[in-house]
Formats: sequence, structure tokens, C-alpha cells
Amino acid sequence: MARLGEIESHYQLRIYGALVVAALLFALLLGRLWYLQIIKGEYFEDQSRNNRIRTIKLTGPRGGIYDREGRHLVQNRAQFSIALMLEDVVDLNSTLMMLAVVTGRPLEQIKSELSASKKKKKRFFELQIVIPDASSDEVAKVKANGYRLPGVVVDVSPTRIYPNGALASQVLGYTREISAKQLESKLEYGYKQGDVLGQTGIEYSYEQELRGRNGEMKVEVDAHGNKKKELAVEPGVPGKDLYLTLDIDIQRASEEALRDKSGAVVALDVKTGEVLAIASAPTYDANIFSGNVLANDWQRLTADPLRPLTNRALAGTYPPGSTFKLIVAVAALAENTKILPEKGDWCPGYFMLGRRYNCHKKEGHGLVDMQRAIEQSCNVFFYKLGLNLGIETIYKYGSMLGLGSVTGIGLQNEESGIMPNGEWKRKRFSKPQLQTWEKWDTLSVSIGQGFLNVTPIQLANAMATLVNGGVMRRPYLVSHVDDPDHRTRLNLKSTFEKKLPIPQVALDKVKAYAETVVMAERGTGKKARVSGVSVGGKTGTAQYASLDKEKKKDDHAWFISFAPVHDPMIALAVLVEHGGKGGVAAAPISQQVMQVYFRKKGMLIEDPKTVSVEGPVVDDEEAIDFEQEMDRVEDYALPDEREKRE
Amino acid sequence: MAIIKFNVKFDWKLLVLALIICAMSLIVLYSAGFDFEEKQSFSMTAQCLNIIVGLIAFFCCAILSPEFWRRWSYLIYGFGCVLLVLVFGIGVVGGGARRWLDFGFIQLQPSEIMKIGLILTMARFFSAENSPRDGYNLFTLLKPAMVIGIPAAMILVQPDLGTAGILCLVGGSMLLVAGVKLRTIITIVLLAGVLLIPAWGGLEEYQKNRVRNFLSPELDPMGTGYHAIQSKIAVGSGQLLGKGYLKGTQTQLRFLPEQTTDFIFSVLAEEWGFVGAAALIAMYVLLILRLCMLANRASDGYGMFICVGTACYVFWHAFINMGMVIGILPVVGITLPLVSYGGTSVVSILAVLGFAAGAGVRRGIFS
Repeated sequence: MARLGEIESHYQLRIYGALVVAALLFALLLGRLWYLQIIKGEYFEDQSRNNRIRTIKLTGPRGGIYDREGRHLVQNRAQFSIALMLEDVVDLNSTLMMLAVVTGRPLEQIKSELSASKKKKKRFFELQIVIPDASSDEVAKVKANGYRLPGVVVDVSPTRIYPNGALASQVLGYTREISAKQLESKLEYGYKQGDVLGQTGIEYSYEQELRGRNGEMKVEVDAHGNKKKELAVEPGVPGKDLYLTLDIDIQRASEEALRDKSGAVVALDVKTGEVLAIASAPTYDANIFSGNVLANDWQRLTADPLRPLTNRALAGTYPPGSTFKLIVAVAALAENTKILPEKGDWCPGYFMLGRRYNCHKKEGHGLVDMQRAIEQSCNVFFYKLGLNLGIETIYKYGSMLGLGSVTGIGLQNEESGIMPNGEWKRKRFSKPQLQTWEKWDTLSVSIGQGFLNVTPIQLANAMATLVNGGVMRRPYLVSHVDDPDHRTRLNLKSTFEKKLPIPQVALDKVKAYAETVVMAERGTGKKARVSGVSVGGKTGTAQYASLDKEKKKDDHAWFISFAPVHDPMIALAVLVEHGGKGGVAAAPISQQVMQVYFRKKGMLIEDPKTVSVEGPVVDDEEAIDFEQEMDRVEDYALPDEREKRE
Repeated sequence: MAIIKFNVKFDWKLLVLALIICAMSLIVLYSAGFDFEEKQSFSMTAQCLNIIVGLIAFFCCAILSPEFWRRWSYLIYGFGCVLLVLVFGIGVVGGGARRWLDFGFIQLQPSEIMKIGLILTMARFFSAENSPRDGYNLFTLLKPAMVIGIPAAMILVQPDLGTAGILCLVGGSMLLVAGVKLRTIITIVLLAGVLLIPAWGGLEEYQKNRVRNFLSPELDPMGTGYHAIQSKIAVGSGQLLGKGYLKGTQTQLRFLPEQTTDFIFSVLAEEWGFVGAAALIAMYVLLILRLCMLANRASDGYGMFICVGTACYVFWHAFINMGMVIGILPVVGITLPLVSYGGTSVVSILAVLGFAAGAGVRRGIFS
């Protein structure tokens, strides 16, 4: 191994030399530190105390929502709040006190808002909001006393306003400040604390279109926090505007017709699938969510047993009752006319299958053909028809028309309901003795009861499909999105279209039968008549089966309709929870909505004399024997309940 | 001769000095990474782990005999080069540059391995029997210049101006200690002057901006000059005794960029003042003095150059980092040795110190 030998001293010399160089350079560092910290220390101390650069959030406002005629459904308004820039506040206590005096607000309230705000904000130099909902009067007072309130800032941010109050509130949804949990799950979308997020309805489903992007501005400020110079501006980008297919007039008519009831109305444009109205009652005023949500408002909404936040048109499932007879009729006409008792059948008022199944008219309808069976809603006729067809055929047409599956309208919480068949029952029940499909199950489904469960929007769409030559469309709510910045328009109209394999003859016949329900003298839907326009429809009274017999309530009233009969433009589904008979409780709502629609179209004849809707309605419509039906429900529901508990 | 031979002794004084700097690091990092909401500092906890891993590396490097490392020097250098090539292909982009390799469980910065490889290789190269005793001339210089230049060029195109510069400075300093003829030095300085002008054109725009901003940071206060201004305010406002622990407004209000890594020194200077900053510089001086003592004591040329290389590594890192924080050097991404937060940085510097601690006590024990 090489020893250093005689040249060792050379290396040593160079190492010493290097040390001297290093020492000189370190001395240079120390000299510079001395200059910065000792000589100019006070200057930098001053600079750091008023570090003059602030970052100000620039809010990109959320997009507006409009109806089909460009009228505002949701817009933004300026929300003033009074905030503190803590770093500029000289004496916090006296400033808060002064603020309380100037605005006339209790000091305690301001203090609690401040501590709540402090808990939320993580970054420094962010405003601490102390009065979140300042009135313009308070803003003026604060501005006038600005010199006495150092560090107090008036902040303006856009907030949602619903100019029509409760109109379509479940469809539009609401927004709230993003929660910590949502912040985590939406991380990749770049949300920040304090951002607003759509929580339900359109606001939720079209969040990415509607949301504005926040920008920021770096500004130089003086010692009092006043802006002196803008250093860098990254402007906020406003959200896009949404144009809905809803018509405010029809929506309002629907909601007014449902006033003081609970239920739903869906109005569809038959030719396009556009949703003209989705009403769900009871409703709520969405404006309570703009600005600060009061705790008791929220409590009241969520605790209400009538669940005003739920959109019953999409999320409520109910047996369709006799409205389903139209679908059974189409199935029979399409499948095989020979299974039809063409010449008519005798209704004695009951049907025997192991036991007695009653028609709602105790003495019987006598001789009925399909037209009369639909017009007067005879159960016995449809019991027989259903048995002849078998459940799988009924299932085929029911599911083909969209029952038991979501329509895909694009709103959250849409329910699929149940279109039962043999396979469904096998999967649904675990006990073998409950898994086989029984004939009496078919009986119930034939008249729209039993396991069958649908949503109002499904029925409305099925109605539209039946009268539209069997062309099925997907109901849609958003027609297009406008980008105000780029002046572009994105068309979101649904082009989904499916021709169902149903012969035109069958559809024409059902349409004609449905017309008699409204137009014939003995029709159950007479109260849905609209002067000047021929209307077709079908009433339904859905068994409300509660296991708790103490809480026995009225049945659900249904009415589905379309008009004009010869060239249908609009299809409706009306549901009134516990409304009683469909022809009495639901048909008039259809009438009110259609009147508004056809008045706008100029097709309504405004002569009260010709409106013969006040005539007597056949009273004996489809009230099945309740007790008997209850037994049937218990057969299934109780063992199943037990299974769940196990 | 057995290749693997264990050192029973190493220079524990060097270790103590390093640990004192590590302790200072933890104290400053606690403040720099302090989260007032959580009432804790994530950076400090993670740095403890980094230091523990670094100490394991230190002992590994110190205990294995210098002969072992001498034999493996070129291989480590070659391995570093391969990793640098890999960075081009599968590197992870961070901060606009491709500097990292992601091995799933660990992210590695190959340029740090390259620094170790360079010190080991240069030490072996300069201590070789056939190295010119009377100093390198322009011709014999070519080989060591390439050893430095190839990895430096690869790092420069990542692009990482700072690390490429460190590589050249450490290698160049070792070269000067090894001896270069005076007329050769003069020739090179002249040549460099001619070559620097076209080199300016080859710099990235952000690198040019950094140099420009270094010359006058007030030109663009919100852009690249922001770092320099805020850092100067932090350091200056510390004054003689500092604002007090956890009380530095620049630090706690997060005005400082990268305050746990590249700008950790400004946190120290703000909260502990001139006294604190000078104390850290004193610690570096002691560490470098100790390394030079070890160099003089080393049993052979290899051990000596290891110690010299390590001293250069510590010195240039510390000088460039502190220089940029206090505004006498441009802002380049160079860490403050043993103080900046970061696994690769802490582990590699403790490993290098391990080589030196092992190499410096060999006289008279085995040979």
C-alpha cells in the first residue's frame, strides 16, 4: 500500500490552503448575516411585521339555472359578510366591542362566530368571518366607521337565491359549504375549504358544469391592510349556465294542484322526452339554504315525517293500482288476442281462486269487454286476463315499458321500484316455501298490486311510450349548458330512442280505451276533462298496506293521462298519497296541469259552460276488500320481516 | 487478503459533531413543520426516522474497511451512472424536473448516490500509484475531468443546476488538493471564460431567471424573486437573538417557501437570530476541521482523499445553501447538510461521514 512519503507535506499544505479558503467563505456568510440581522435588522423586522403581501380569494360565481324559456330558476346574489383580517387588528377585544356597537349585534354572537371561523380556517391571512349575513345597512355602518375598525373588512361573495321560492326545490337541490368529509372524497377535483358544493338535485348532478373556479389575487397592502397595488391576478372563472326543460308555469300549476297534499306530478313532452314538470309535495323553500342555514330550519326539514326533502316523483315507490291495467291490456292485445274474452266476460263481483277475490263493485259489472273493463276498471276481467297471460308475459311488457328500472333522468336517489316475476321472487325470499310464484301473486299484479312498485316518473314515461307509437324515450331535464366565457353551448338533449315491439293495433286500441276513461259518461276519470282537448287516461287507487292496522290510512290516488288523444303532446302521472280514489283526488290535478299547458298552446277553450267536469263520478271505483288484501300482505311481509331480524 | 475486513474503531468525535447538528435540525424542524391545529410537527417525527436510517448507514460505512470500499469505488460510481440513465426513462417528475426514481417502497434521488460514488472514485483515482506526483497538467487532467463531467452533465439536463454544480465543486476541490500545475489552472480559467458565454444560451429559462433574479430579486417580487425576498426578510428580522422559538412570523405564517427543506436556515435565523445562525456555522467549521484532521491522520492516500472529499461535500453544501438563503448566491435546490428535511439527503451525508470516520483512524492498526 502506497505510503504518503515525501509528498505528504504537499497534501497537508494544500489542505491547509483549502481550509483558509473555506474559513474566508464562511466569514463572508457571517458578514452577510451580520449585515442583514444586526445592521438592517430593524428594517427587516418592520418588513416582517407588516409583511405586505396578501392573498385574496376571487370567487368564480356558480352558474345559473334557467327554465325552458330562459327564466331564472336559480341565480346568484351578493352576500355581504363582515370579516376580520386578524393580522391587521390592533386590539381584538376593543375592535369586537366597537363592531358590536356599530352594527348593533350582540357581542357574544360575534365572538362565537369568530371562534367558529377560527376553527375552520387553516391558512393564515385568510379572512375570519364574524357576521356572515350582514345587511346592506350594517355594511354601510361598518364602512362609515372604517377608521375606528382597523382590520375589519367587508367581504362580498355570491350565494344562491331561488327567485321562485319553493318551486321545483327538490329538482333543483341546494348547495352548502363543502364538509371536511366531502373535501377528502373530492380531492382530485381541486376543492378547497370554504368552497360551495351542490348537495342534491341538479345542483349535485351538474356540479362540475355549475361550479365556478376560484382565482386569487396577490396584493400589496399598507399597514392598515388597505390594498395598494395588485401584484398578480388569477381571475376566477364563472360556472356554466344550465337550461332545463322545465316550464315554470306547468311546474307551478303542478305544485299548486298538490298544495296541502303529499304526492307527485310528472309532466313529459311525449314527442321528445323533455320533462316539463316534476313536482313533489310537500316542498320546502330552497332559500333557507342560501347564506347561513339556520340549525332549526334544517332540523325541521329533516325531522318532518312527510319528508319534504324527498323527491317523490323519482324516489317514491308505490303500487300503480289500476293504472297498470293499461299495460296488462297492451300485453294481452299484443301477445295473442285469442286469450281475450273478446265478446266480453261476466263479472259477478268476485273471482274465486282458492278463496274469494272481490271486484270493487260488489254486485258485479255484468257483461264487460276490454273497453268497459278499462273504462270502469273491472278487477275480475283483469284477474282472468292476467291469469291467461301469466306473470312472465306481464313482466315482459311491464319491464319493456320501463317499470322496475330507473329512467336514468340523471338525478341522485332515483328508485327502481319492483317489476316482479318468478325469478325476482326466488331471489327476494330465502325460505323455499315463499320462493315459488303463485297464481294469486299474478292476480295481485294484474290489477297493479302485490309486489309491484313503481315511481311516478316511470308511469309517466310508460304512458308517454304507449301513446307515442311505442317509441320509448329517456326523460331528461337539462337541455343545454351555456359557457358564458367561451360563448359555447353544449347540447345535453337525450337522443335515446327505442321502438318497442308492440303492434300499432294494440297501442291504438288501448289509446281508444283510455280515452273512454275520461270522455265516456261512466268513465272513472271524468274529472280530468279539459275543454277543447280530448284527454285519455287511467285512474288508479293503490292499496296502502300498513302492517300496523291502527295506522290505517286512505289509499294512494293515481291518475295517468295524455292529450290530445289523436296527436299526444303531453303525458302526465299524478300521485296523491293517501288521497283516496284516483278519479276523485288525482284526476282534477291532471286537469289543472293540462289546462295551463293547453292554454299556453292556445288550444284551450275558455268557456266554463263547456267544461263538464262537475258531473257525478262513478263512485264505486276499485276499492278492493281491504281486510282480505291485508291477509295477503301479511303472508309475505311477516315471514320476511322475521328473516330480516334473524 | 480478505476483502471484507472490519474496522474495530472509528472516529467517534466526528459522529458526536454530526449528531449535534442533527439535534439542531430536529429543534428547527419542529418549528418549521409545526401545525398549530394538530399541535405537532410531522416533519420532525419523519426526520427522526431519517436520522436513524442514516446512522445505520454511517456504521455500515465506518465499520467496513476502507480497502473494501476502495475496491468497490468504481462499481458504486458505475451504479450511480446507471441510475442516472434510468431517471431519464422512468424517473418521477417533481417540480418541473425529472430527478427521482420511484421503487414503490422508497423514492430515491440518484444524484445523491452519484455524489458518494464520485468521492469514492476520485479518492481511489488520486491515491493510485501512477497518479502524477508533481501535479496534473492539461493532458493528465482529462481523465478526472471526465469522471466529474459525465455525471454532472447528466444531472444538469434533468435539469438540476445546483447538484451538477456541487458535483463539479466537490470533484474540483479534490482535484486541487491532489495538485494541479499552476499554468494549467490559468489555462483552464481562461478557457472557461471563453466557453461560459455560449453556455448561457444552453440554460433553461427558469435557470436564467434565477440567475437574473439573483442579481436583482426586486424585479419580480411575486415570481422567482419571492423566495429570495421572503427569505431575506425572515433572516434579517431575526436580529441578534431571534424572535423566539415557534414565534417566527415568517415561518409560522408560511411566507417562506420550502421552509423544511431548502430554506430551513432562514427558519433558524429568524427564530434564533444571529447567535443561532452563527452557532450552526461554528458547528460546520468544527466538523470540517475534524475531517481535515482525519485526512492528515489517514494511513494512506485513499483514506486521506475520502476525508478531503467528505469535507468538500459538507462545505460546499452548507456554503451554497446558506448563501442562497441570505441572498449572496442564486436560489438552487441544494440542501443544508444534516439539517434540511429529507431522507436521501440525510442518509447519504451520514454515509459519507461514515467513510471518513472509518478511514481516518486506520494509521498503525492493521498496516
